[in-house]
Amino acid sequence: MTGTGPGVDAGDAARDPAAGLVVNQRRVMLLAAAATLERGADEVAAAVRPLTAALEAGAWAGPAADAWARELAQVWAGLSRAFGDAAVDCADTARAQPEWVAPDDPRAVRPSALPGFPRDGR
Amino acid sequence: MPGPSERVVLDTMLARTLANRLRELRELLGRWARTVAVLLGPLGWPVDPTAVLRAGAGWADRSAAALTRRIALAEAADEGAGPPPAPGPPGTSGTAGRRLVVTLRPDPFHGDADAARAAGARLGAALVGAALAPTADLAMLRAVAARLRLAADDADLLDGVVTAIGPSRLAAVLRLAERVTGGGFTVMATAAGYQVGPARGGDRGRPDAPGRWLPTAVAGELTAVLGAALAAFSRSGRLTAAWLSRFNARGIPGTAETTLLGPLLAARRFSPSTLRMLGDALFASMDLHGNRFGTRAGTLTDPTGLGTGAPATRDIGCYGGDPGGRRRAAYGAAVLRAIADEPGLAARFADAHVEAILAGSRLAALPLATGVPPPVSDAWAYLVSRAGGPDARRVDPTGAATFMAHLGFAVYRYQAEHTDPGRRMDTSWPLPAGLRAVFADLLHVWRHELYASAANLLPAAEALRDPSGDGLVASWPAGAATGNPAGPWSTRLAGPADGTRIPARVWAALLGEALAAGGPTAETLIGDAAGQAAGLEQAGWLSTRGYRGDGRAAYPASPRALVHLQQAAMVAFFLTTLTDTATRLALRAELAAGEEARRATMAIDQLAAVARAIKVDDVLGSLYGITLGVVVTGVADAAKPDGEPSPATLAAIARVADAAAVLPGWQDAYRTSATAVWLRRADDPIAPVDVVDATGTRRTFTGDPRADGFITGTADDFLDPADRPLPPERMSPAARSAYLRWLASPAIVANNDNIPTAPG
Repeated sequence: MTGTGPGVDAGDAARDPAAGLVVNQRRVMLLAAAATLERGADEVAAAVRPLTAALEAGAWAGPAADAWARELAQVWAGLSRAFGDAAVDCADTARAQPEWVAPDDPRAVRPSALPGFPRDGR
Repeated sequence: MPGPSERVVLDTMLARTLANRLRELRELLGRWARTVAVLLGPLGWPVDPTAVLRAGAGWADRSAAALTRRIALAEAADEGAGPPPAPGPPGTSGTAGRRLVVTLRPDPFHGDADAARAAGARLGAALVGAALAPTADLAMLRAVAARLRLAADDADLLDGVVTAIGPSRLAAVLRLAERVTGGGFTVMATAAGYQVGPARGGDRGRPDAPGRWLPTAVAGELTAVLGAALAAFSRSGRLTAAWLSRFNARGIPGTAETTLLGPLLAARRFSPSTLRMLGDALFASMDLHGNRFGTRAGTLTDPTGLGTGAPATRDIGCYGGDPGGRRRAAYGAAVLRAIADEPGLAARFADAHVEAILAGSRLAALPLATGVPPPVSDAWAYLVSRAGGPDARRVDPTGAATFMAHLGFAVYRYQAEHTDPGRRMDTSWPLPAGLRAVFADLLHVWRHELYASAANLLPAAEALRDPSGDGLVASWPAGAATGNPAGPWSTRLAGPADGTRIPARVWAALLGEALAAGGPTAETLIGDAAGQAAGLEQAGWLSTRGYRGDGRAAYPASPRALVHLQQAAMVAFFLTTLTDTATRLALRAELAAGEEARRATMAIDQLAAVARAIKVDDVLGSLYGITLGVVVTGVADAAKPDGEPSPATLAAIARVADAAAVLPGWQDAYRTSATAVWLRRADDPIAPVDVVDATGTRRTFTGDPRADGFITGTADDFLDPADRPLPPERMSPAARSAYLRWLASPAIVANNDNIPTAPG
């Protein structure tokens, strides 16, 4: 099995036969993280939209509601900025990495998961 | 410092949706914080957005809690500001979708529900400490009551109060406030404040000794604020059978001193499910066998089915003294009145207990000491008046129609079993005059359904018809649980129109009882009969305007013939019921003695006054004429001190009834001949009828239900493949309605050459 996705085991990593190099797993994972974070921004936007829709439909009105709507806008802006910035940072960091590395390079092996978290997935 | 007063505009349903969406957002952000940790942790956190995600989740959580609290505060403020909220359209529950515009008091807790609960808990602890101390701290009790009055709209705070007091200590406090003796409990000072338990040994230092009772003024303040607190606790869904299982001052599990709740129930609205539970237990604790009213322990069961399998909670009334059962009676009346004022609950609850209500009311009307407490029998009548009243009808149409059907059915069965004028038998116990007057009010509310049923072309609800004959079933159908959304007593139709399918003889039973009340109620009932007959005539004329056209068309019958027939049926129904009632009352007067005979004779004379005023050659016209003056005069004439009804009186009534009679079975006869007109259309073509509607547009009725727009699709198709009308009991509600409209349509009526006419 060949491939460059995050689901590929380190032992199966594609080798560049010409140079004897292997895929830079760190780069692969950074790109995957960037894609996932972009999806996260979309999911959060989809969850926030009904909130503003309910407000506009008249769920709650008054000075406190206006203040809260401003808070909502700020929180939403903060969240989309956090997701967007993180995705861009991950992509930039990935681009700064070489695509292929020597087999004994630490980046040739996928980093292990944090204690208490599964590797990959949600 | 609390913020300023705030004007809030809320749509309760949308705002609840908003709070739920906020909780979903919190969950989503929590999941993403975890996902980000999985993705970026192993990479050594090149970036770290988790702080923003966790902050967002926290904000969503706080917002949801604050909004939920705000909705509760606004609803409580709105409810406290005026009468109970106008109920929503059928199908919506309670306050859903209501738009509230209220000015909220400053929230001292700034939207923090937990802080409000904690403050409530402190108040609850202070209240228990002040009330249960060997010498009550009255100043503290007044201060707590004043604080709770200010927080009467704060469900979170009140929840904290009730939770901190707990059921057993609440029962003890209420015993001291309501001055109940013989509790058999003791108060212990512990590190966690005063606790209660069963008393052992002598009665020294009894906590329920009169010396420890709270002064009336303080007690009144306290029961009012505790009532509001418990109502809030109930509305939050926590006042369950399990909670009540410890509601006794002895702290014994499984027993509830519900009677102590009596003074609290009027404070604020309790939740319908709490009221239903208390009400069902109330009826279970009533003993109506024989001719004595008694009480026994009942069982409290959550109507929601929550806690099934848990040990049963017994409703024991209360420990100790209740001389004459006065406390229990006051409690029972309070529960019944609270239920009656919940239009979404009243009809279904009253339906479930209608036989007991009628039996108890008959017992209460006996001229003996039967022990029925007057507050309870008054509350029964109030419950009946609300269960079939306009509010219940609007909020719960199916429940209200079912209640009316069940009420009428129970009265009908009782009459059928206990009276037989033919054999000169009457072993019935009459209903109280107050309840009869309530029936009259209800019949006014349901006048359209009543007379529509009397003139209905189709047989009434199948569920109540005895399949073996012409009569009604012997007992209310077992499958008639009101939870059935399709309408229990008629398995076919739902909604307010159901009332028209209550069999006419069931309506007649109620009308007879209402007429027997005599007095001004009869006036209203005559007005209803005349009004309905007049309305029918008006509708008939409107729907057949201009049918004579150029005068060249000749029809076998007038297209208004059916209306006249139905009108005659309505009048005959009323007058027959009037005659039957007079006959029953006459027999009663003959069999009974003394006061009852005098009252029966008086009522007969009133009915005779109505009958005398009716001209035999113009029954309908004279009905209009007598709606006012005559009855009042009749009442005055009839107020004679004694005497049996004179033969002339009875003759006057009988004469009118004869004049108003319609041919029995006219409905079937009409339907048969109308069907024949339709089926023989190939040989005898149906002559079309042109009418002019209200806008001046001409419309032609051909008699074909499809061409005339009565059948618009498969849903309302009442014809079988051979184009014959299906048997009515097999028609869907839509088809049934279409069939009825077609039967009464101008072409079918005008071409019907065999319309049955009144005898004589």
